[in-house]
Amino acid sequence: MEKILACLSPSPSNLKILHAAADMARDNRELIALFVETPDFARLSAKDRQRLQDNTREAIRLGARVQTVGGDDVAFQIAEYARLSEIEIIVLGQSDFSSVRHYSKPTLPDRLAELLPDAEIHVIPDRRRNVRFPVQREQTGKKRVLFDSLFTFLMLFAATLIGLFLYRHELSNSSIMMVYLLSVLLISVTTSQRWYSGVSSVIILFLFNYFFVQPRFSLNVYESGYPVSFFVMFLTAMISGTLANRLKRNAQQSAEAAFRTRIISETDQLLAKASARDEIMSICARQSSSLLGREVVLYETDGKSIGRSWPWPEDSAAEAADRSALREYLSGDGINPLFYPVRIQDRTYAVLCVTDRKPYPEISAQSTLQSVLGECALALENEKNVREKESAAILAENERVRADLLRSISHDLRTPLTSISGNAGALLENEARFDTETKRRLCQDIYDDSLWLTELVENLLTATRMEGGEARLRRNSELIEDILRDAVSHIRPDSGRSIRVEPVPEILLATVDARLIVQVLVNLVSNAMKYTPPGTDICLSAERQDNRVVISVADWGPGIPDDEKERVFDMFYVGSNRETVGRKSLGLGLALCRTIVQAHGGEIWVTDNDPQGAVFHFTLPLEEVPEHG
Amino acid sequence: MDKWKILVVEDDAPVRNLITVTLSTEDYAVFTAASGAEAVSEAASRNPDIILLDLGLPDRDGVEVIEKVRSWTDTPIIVISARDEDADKIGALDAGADDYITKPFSVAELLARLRATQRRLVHNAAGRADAMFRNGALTIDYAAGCAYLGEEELKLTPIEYRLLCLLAQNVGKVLTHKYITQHIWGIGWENNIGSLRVFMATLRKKLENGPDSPLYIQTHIGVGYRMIKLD
Repeated sequence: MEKILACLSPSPSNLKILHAAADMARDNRELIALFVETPDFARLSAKDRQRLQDNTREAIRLGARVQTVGGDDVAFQIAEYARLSEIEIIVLGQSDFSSVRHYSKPTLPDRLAELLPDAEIHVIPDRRRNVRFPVQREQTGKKRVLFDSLFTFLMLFAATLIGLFLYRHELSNSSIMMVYLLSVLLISVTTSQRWYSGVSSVIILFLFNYFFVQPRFSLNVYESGYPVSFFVMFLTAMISGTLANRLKRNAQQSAEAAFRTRIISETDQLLAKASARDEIMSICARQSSSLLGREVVLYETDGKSIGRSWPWPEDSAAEAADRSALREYLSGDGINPLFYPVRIQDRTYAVLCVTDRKPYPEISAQSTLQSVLGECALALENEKNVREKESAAILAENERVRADLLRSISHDLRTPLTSISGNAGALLENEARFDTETKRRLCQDIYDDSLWLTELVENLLTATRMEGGEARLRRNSELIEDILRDAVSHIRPDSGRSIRVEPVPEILLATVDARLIVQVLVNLVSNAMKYTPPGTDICLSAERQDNRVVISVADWGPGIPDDEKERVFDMFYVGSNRETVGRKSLGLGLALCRTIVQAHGGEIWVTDNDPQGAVFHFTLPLEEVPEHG
Repeated sequence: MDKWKILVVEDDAPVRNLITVTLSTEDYAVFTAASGAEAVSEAASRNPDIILLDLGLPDRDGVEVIEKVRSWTDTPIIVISARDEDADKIGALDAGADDYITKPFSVAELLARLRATQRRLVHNAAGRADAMFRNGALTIDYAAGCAYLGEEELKLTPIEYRLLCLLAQNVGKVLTHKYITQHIWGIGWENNIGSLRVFMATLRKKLENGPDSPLYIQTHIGVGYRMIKLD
């Protein structure tokens, strides 16, 4: 992939360059916006900083990767970066970096062409030339000026005192010169502006001349060699001062760079450990905040709507303002210098909002911020992918259960249907040849199978209703005894078997979906009928236990072995005595009972009956019985 | 008395056929209709004694048919509905249907419902204006405001007595919760179902106080209550 490098600068025409570069980068080429942070950077005016900020924002909006390099020689830095990053095309403006400091040197494009003979260099013409980096005064606070001036004065005073002390002990003038040079060196290291050391370099000449050169206490000079000495002294003071100053700035810059590098590596480590979305969001907010050294709020967004925020904002009015500004920003027409999207390509996961509005973040901090946000976006994307994969797995699992259900149903539907249609067909065609007993038996089979189908369809319908979860329950306050009686009325009588409802001594009301609870009871009773020999009695009862009711369905059949007591409620689980029951079980009924009871906030279990048989119990929460009025 | 005339409204041919064959063998005169429009015109022209109405008709809502028929006659209507359609059943009962039967139903169940409705019609024709109501061992003396079970007077609270009278006046008919609460407590008390259940439970305990006692009041879960007409 071809790479295009555009130079970032605080110049107003820089936008034009960025757009031109973005145009060139349109055909799937990578765009890099490079800013060279020279020592002059610290002296940029607030207005220029703001403009640089805006230009950076625009570059990000255009899809550029913003990078910062530090150094004195702009051309060399660009060339080095371009060489290392294998950049083929460089776009810059004529005015870029053509500050007065460079007027005597070859122009930037010329130097670049010299350093990078293979690169394609586009120079975008600009009407406004010579945009300079004006010396910024307002940034240097009054306190700072006072301190620097006082320090300079004290240093020079001290140097003079030491000089007088040395003079008295008749040490040579060159030692005194050294003391003065040392004071200038200290001044240039300590003060914030370069001119303190410059001015000091001149002052020491006069001081030296005045106090120590014959004739003393005048600015006259007798010896002819002194002007040369003065000139050398001045040059030495100037050069050492400048070097010391530069050293100091470099140290500062590298400290900052180290801090940023630490933030990035720390973010990496934290993100590697984080897996939840919330965690990633809070790491992102925390790291950005400590990088910029100011308060930030991270808003969750999908590119359209705005979600939660990290950290939880304390000032709700400010938050509302942020949110409305953010909405504007997301709707497309917003370059807001305080918003930084957390995104990968066009997928935005969150927006970082710098709430502390005063000074704009340093551009070099911004490019670090971009890497931090990029890391977070990547982590968020991974997290989203994992989440999607998980929900896909759940979906697949649901799909599997559904497929099992379908397979089971279609098998169990086909068998009775075959029997019904076969028996009915036989009756239609051969009616005359069958005796009464045969005809009766065929009809009985058809009848039984149709009943089985009815039961199956009921359970399937209920299962469908239960899919919606608890929300779909149609709860009403119902009398437990009514439910028991209603359930029994739905069960087809079986000759030789008695199904009785024990009278319920007190009035028990429960807020339930009666149709579903009746279904539970019907399933439990018909289950008992299937698994017990004909003639075995079944008994339904209900009793209060504190604030719940325990409803029991008891039979006196063979009972359920202990190791199966838990599993009978599993879906598609069919007991070991399936043979004795024939095909008449789908393993759906009891599973459905458990689902329904649990949806009502109850439990279901099975115990042994005395002396033999099984008792199924389930509980329902009771409600208070209204006062008689 | 002539044969009872039954109008069967059912769009599904096999079910219609089943009902027709069953009723014919039980000595009823059966007319059929396969749509709502047909049902209304048949009900008007044949003047049936009882109407069996399937709620799921192709051309119009069953409730609409009930309202149309109720505009000129009190002919009992037994609604046939699929299960899990409580709202439809209640709508039909509130619109004026007398009873309902749920699909899939057995032939025996259908015949039992028809006989119960016939008993009610005979009972009403015999003595609607009677000051005394008799059903099995239950007697209500409307003039005296007393109810007896056999020889013994029932000790009822005022609300229980009003409930009993309401059920007795509509014996054999399923009364919806809404209908009952509106008649006992007035409009706006339709949500008082919890109290209704408690009163109904205590009333029933007083009526059905022995293990051999017949069932007087039938509970229709999610729908309402009915007093059964005993032979």
